[in-house]
Amino acid sequence: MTEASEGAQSEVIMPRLGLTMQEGTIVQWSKPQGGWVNAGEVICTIETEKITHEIEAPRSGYLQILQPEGTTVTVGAVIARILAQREAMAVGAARAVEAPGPGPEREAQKLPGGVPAAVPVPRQEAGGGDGRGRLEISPVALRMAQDLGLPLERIQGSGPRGRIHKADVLRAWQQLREGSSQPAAVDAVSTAPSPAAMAPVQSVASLPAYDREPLTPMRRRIAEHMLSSLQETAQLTLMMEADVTQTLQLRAELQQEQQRLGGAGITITHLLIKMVALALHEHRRLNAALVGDEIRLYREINIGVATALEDGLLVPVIRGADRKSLAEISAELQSLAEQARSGRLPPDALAGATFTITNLGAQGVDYFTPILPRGQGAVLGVGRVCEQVRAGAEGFQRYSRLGLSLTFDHRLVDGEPAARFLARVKYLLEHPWTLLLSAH
Amino acid sequence: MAEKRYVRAVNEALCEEMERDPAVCLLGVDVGAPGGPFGATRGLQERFGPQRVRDTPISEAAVVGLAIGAATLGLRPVVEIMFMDFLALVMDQLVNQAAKMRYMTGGQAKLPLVVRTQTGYRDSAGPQHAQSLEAWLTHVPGLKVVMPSGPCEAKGLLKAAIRDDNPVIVVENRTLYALAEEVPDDDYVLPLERAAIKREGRDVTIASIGVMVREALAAAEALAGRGISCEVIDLRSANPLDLQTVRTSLEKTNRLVIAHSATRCGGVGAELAAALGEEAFYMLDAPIMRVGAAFAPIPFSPPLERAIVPDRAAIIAAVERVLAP
Repeated sequence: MTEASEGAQSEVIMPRLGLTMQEGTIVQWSKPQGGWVNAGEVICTIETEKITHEIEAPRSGYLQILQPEGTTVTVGAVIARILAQREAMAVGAARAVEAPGPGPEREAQKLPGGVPAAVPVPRQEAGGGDGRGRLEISPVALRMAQDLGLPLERIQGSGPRGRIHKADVLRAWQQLREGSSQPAAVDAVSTAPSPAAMAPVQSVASLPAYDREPLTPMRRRIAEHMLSSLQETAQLTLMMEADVTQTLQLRAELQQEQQRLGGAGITITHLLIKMVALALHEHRRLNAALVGDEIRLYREINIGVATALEDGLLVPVIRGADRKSLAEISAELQSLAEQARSGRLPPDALAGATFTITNLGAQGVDYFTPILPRGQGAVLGVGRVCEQVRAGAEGFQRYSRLGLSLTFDHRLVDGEPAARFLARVKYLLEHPWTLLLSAH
Repeated sequence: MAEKRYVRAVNEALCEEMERDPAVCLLGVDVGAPGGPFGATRGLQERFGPQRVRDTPISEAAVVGLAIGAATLGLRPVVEIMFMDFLALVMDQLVNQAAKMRYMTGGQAKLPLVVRTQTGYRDSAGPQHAQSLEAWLTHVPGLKVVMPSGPCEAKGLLKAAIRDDNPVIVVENRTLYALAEEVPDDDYVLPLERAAIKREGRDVTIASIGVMVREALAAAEALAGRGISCEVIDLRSANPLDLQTVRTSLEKTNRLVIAHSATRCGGVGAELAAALGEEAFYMLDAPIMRVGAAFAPIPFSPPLERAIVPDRAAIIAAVERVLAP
C-alpha cells in the first residue's frame, strides 16, 4: 500500500499497478465518509483500464474521502486521508476541496428566494487580471456549450453579471452555424429574457437525440490504443486458408487423453498458440517491433490471446509459449480467462506480449483485418472452421477449412517474408504431427 | 364513467375491494354506522356487516396495533385515522412495527396494511388538525406514502394500496372531498410509484403533490395567458419518489418548481431537490425553487392562515423567479 504519513494522518494515494498505468477510477468506497477504519481493512475499490483492485487502509483512523465514486484521478493523487481525530476532518476538507458556496439559509428566516446558483468557471484565456477571473454560467448551459464545442468566451450571457443561460448558448451556436463573423452576442443584454426568447432554437432540435454513456477506463484505453496503432504503423493484412482436417483429428485424440488425465480441454486455439510460437522461432521478424529508429527482435515468444469481455476485451499472455506443452498452455489460458472475466487478473498477466492471436471464428467470421497491438509487429486473426469440398486428382474431397488473417507492420517486415511465416503456420496446421519434432 | 366527488371515489374504492377480497376489512373511529368522520365509509357496515367494518375506541395506537396483527395473519385491514396530526400517536406502531415486519422476518410476514388519513387547511382547523406530516413517514424505509390529488387518484391509488403487500399510508385531502370529476366506474387501479404529467409545457416544470397539484394547474393556466408554458407533474407518491418522470421533464424545460402544502423545511420537496441536484444538475438552467408552507404552526385565524399556507400565487411567483434568475 502506498501512503505518506503526515503526523497524525496518512494519505491514501492512487497506486501505480502496472508500468503503463496513468490513472485510475474510484469505483466504490466501502467505508463511509468519516467512519472508523482499521489498518488493513479494504476501504476502496479502484479500476484501471485493465483490472479492479482493492485498496486497504494504511493505518487505523477516521476515513476522510477526498475523491467521490466515479472520479478518475492520476496515479499518485491523494484520494483519501486517514485521520487520528475526527475533528481534523473539517480542517482537512476545507483544504482539500474548493471553498463551498454560501452556507444554507435558515428556512424560518426566509421565504422563497435566496442566492441564485451559478457555477463559477475559470475564464479561459481571459486577458489576465481583470479582477474577477470568473464567469457565471448555468449548469445546463455549461454542459451544452461543452457538447457543442463552443468556447465560453464566445457566448455573451444575458443574465445578471453576464451569467450565461441555455438560451444564450443556443443563440451563440446558431450564429456560429449561420456563419456570422460577428461575435455571438445579444443586443438586449440588460433586459430580462422573456420566455419566448428561451424557446429552443429550431436547428438544435433537429440534432439527433442520444443517450450519454461515459467511457469506462477500459473502453477509453482501447480507443486510444486502436487509434494510435492505426496512425503510427503501416498495417497490411494477408489472408490464407489452411486445411485443418488433421489438426482437428489430433485435437480430438488429445482431448480424449486429457479427459483420461483429468486435464483442461484442448482447443484449436491452444494448438495454434503452440504452432505460431514454433513458426516464430524461424521467423523472428514477426516477433518484433519497430521502436524509434531500431527494430527490436524479442528473445521471448509471449503469445497474447484476445479474450472478449462484456464491454471490451483483455489480452492475457502466455509467456514462453514455445517452451510450454499443450497441456500447460491449455491449463494456463483457462485460468487466465477465468481471472480476466472476474476482473481479478494481476496486471503482469496482461503485459509483455510479443505476438497476439485473436479469434472471431465463434461468430462465423472467415477473414478480417485485426489491428496491431501496441509494441508488436504482427497479429494473427483466426476465423471459423467450416466443411468444404475440394476438387483433387482423385475426385472431390471433403476437408475442414480454417481462415487465417495476418496483420503485420510493413515498416519492419515486407510482404514476402510475412507470407512465408503465414505459410509456415498453414503447414504446421496441415501436418500437426510435426509438433513432435519440436525440441521443446 | 360518471362524475363523482372525491369522498365518493374513496367509498367506491373501499366497496369494490371489499367485494373483491373477503380479507379486506375496515377499522376506525366512527367508520361503522356513522359512515366515517367525513362520510368515506358510508353504507359499508350495512353492506358488509359489523365483523368487517368495525368501530373502534379513540385509541389510535391500539387500532393500528390491532390492524398490524390482523395484517400479519392474513387480513388486509384499512384503518382510518381521522386527522393526519393524530399519526403522532401511531408512530411507534407504524415506524417500529409496520415498517420493519417484512424486513425482520426475512420476508416471511407480509404486511398488507393501509392507513387512510387526511390533511387540509383553509377551514380554520388550526395548529393540531391541519398539518401535512408526510415527510415524517417518507424518512422511514418500509412505508409507502401516496397523496391523491383528485377523485380519480383517490380511487385508483387506494385500490392499489389495498392490494399492496406493504404498509401504505394514503393521505387524502379533506378540502378536496367535495371536488367532483369523471371517475372510471370499472376496476380502476393506478400504480403506486409513478408520477403523472397533468399538463404538458416547455418552459418550467412544476412538480406538485396532493392538493398543490390543483394549485399548480391553476397557476399554469394563469401563466399560459402570459405566454409561459408550464408542465405540471402530479408526483402522487411521496415515497418512493418518481425521479425519472421529473428528470425527463427537466430535460425539456431545464427549470423546476416544487410545490407541496407541508412546510418547506425537511419536506418531500427538499428530498426531491437534493436528489435532482445529485442526478440532474447539468440539466438545470436556474436554481430549483420550492413552494411550501412557512415554518410555523397553522393559525386558526383565517387571514393569518392565508398568509402562511402556499397557493397558486406562490407558485406563480416561483415560476417567475426561475424564468428570470
